[in-house]
Amino acid sequence: MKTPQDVITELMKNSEIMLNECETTAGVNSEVFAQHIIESSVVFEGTDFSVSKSNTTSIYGIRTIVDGKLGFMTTNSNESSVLREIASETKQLASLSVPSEHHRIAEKTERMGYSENFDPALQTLSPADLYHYLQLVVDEAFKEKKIALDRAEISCVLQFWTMSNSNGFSQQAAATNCSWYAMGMGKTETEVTSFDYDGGCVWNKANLESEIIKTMARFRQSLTGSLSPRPAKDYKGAVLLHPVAVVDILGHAVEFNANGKNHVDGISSWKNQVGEQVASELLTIRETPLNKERPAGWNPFDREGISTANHEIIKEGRLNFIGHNCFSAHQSGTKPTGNASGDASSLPQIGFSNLVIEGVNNQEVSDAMIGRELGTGLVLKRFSGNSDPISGQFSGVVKNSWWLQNGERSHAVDETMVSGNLFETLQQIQAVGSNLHTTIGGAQAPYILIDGISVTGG
Amino acid sequence: MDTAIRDRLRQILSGAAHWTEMRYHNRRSRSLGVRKGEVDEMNSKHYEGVGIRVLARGSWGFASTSDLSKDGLEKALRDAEQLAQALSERKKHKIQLATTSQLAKGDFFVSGYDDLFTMPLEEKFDFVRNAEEKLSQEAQKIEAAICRYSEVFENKIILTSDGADCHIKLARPELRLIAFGADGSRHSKGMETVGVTGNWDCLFHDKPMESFIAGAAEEAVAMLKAPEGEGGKKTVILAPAMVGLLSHEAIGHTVEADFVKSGSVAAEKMNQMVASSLVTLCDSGHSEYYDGAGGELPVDDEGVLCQKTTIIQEGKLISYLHNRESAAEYGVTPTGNARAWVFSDEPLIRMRNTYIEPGNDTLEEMIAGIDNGYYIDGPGGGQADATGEFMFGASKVRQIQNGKLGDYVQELTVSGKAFDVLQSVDAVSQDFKWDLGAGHCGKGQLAKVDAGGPYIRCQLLVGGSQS
Repeated sequence: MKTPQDVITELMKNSEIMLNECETTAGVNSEVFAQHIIESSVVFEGTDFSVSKSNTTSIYGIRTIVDGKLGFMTTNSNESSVLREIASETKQLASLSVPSEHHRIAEKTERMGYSENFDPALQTLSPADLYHYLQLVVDEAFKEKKIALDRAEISCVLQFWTMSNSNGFSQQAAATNCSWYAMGMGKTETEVTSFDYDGGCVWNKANLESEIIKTMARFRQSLTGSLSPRPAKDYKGAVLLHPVAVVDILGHAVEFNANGKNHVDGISSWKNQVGEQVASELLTIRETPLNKERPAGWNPFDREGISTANHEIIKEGRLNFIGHNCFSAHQSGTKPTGNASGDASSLPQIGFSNLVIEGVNNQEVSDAMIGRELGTGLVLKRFSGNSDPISGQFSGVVKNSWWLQNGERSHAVDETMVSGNLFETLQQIQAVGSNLHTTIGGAQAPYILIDGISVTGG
Repeated sequence: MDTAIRDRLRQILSGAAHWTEMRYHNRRSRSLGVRKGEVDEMNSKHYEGVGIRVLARGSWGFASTSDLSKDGLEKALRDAEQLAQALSERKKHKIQLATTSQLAKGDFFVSGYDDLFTMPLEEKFDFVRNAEEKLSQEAQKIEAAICRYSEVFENKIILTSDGADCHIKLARPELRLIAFGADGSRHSKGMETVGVTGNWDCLFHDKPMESFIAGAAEEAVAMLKAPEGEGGKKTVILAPAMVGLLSHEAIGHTVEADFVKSGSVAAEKMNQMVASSLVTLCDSGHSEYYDGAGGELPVDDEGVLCQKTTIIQEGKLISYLHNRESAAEYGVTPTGNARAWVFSDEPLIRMRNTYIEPGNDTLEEMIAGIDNGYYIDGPGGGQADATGEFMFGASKVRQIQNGKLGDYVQELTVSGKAFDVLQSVDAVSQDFKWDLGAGHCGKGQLAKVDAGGPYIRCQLLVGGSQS
């Protein structure tokens, strides 16, 4: 079995082959982002195991800038001759482009090297171990008889990635993670609920069993809570957002509107508003890419190799931080912030990792307290619809949600739609819970009570 | 290269101890993009590998590799065999495969591949630059524009132990234009997309580039001043793109046999009237009515020839969509719906081109019959539930008042229970259009699909504002 260092060395060697091929001409800057992924997974469908899978692959993405002209190619070949050919083709591709002074690769910095979030115990996980843990997922889901599973899956991934560029700058990382999910519905003799899904991701074997048990308890509770639904009453007013809905609705809007490229292009609604109040002062939103306990978003360096850092994007309602990659930073006359997103198959975009959405409270606001503050109305958990981060309009069908009557859970809700405007909603936050809940993608959020939402029952 | 790989796969398959499927997949894709005058995509990708699926002792094992040497492929075969055998110790119900006379043999090259492949990239890039420039200048309130072009060249060889031996090539180009509007603090977006199977000219089968530019700009500008729509149960006209989305999301997913087995709403409805008798709904690997449907597929990823499958005939549910495993379980013929996105994915039951057949009405008559409703076009995202409850977003929505088409309203989400909505259909137009070829369907893996149909009039729940 290869050690992480063996794999990293091979990725760096192959990246070097590509960089050398490109650097035969003056005025050429190149960057190679390389990944090696070893994945094993097992799938359960309905009432039985369905397939066991394995895949090992390497991917190389080479970005070349020839006199300001951009070319990018990706290959999954490890053969030296193919890598040289691809590197050469990238230059030809760039020659077709038009120049821009903003195309850049990262400068060499002192912060370079190897990072890991790696558990050797996951590296040695056998197919039999994976069957065992998937069986645990299934058994935990089926602890409640009124649940039908559509699909459950567990995957163990060993991932190694490197970035090296013609400025002599390089970074390397290795990580393990084991992720699982179950998708299903509540089911009785007379009814079938909407789908819901839940799961988790850990980087080490020690936490795997307890996290499976915790997430599947949440899954059971959501599906049984969706039984016997009826439409909500029509109204316009306050709605309590479940943490899943908070991430879905607010998280994506923040990511779009705090994106430096969208600021430069004038399509962010928060253009020229850094330091200004864009949301209620009760709200703070951070990114935490270095949090190892949420491995799906752990990211020691960005797509361009810049070291990442924690940032407060919105601080007590004020826009505090704009994310940049090298391109948007140069356009804006600032420095890249470590927010270049993407992988070897794509050019660097701009993104944020491991969002934490939290309240600014003088005192503890429990989940029960915030429910009592709503009194009577809709608690929105899952939102199946459209949310336009540009206009702020959102509209969709509620799923796995429920109705509160005088602060107490009354019944599940179906055939009900919600709509509103995100930017107005952000200003109309009435209360933010103190408890942070981790959602399936790794983002953390509390319950948030917002006003100005239209609720339309069927 | 293709011949050498095919021979190597044949040789290795001949030594397989169990039923085995070998799928070589070579995908080349390119994407070109210009955003606000700057080149933001000049990309090319090349992925190549083999996925091997083994059915041993009634269990599946699947392994994939990008090592195309004889040793690499033999190792992948052994891995898949071992995974299948290990799984068989835990599997309760042993899998069987439907036998079929529809296994593909020979070459299946969809027209347009060579045309598109040899068309100079410079020509395509100049087109993208010009389109972005024109769109950004189309109206004063356009703050920024994006034009993106992408093309995918699929080259597959599929062999199975029981006789499939075929080579498939097809090309899928796609164009996307986005206009961003701004007026003071208001921001908006307008978008036009098209995706086809075929050559460059197929992109412009329905309308020229100028119409795409005008459409994206008009939507962005209109949305800057459009009011919110009124929510509630409404009589609506669905444009062909929305009919396609309804067919795909609301019906198509519920009749995928793996979904049916899990308890979808279609499970208890076979041979029942589930829709108005005006509705006949199909899923086809062919491009019905005219060439270029974005989900065209001559052979599926189990090596089964793709056919047209009628799902609902004049309102009655008559078929689900199957792979070979589900076909055996239901005692029917496979419908050619097993698809895998890349070589490292195992085939799942997926749709291809899903549509409602045209009827006898005219759009004008259908609009004239509505007192207070909406004309709905511009599909956004869409999802369906096992219950048949669906939602989809719509960005181009116009009011209909007293039989007349009115102004745009802000984008909306529409929802309903699939079969209830189809039962409410009271008019189907004579038109037909494929209009969902851009983008992908997601079900764990991506799949390139298309959908479309005529205009239909039905009842839906519209999510709008409440006073």
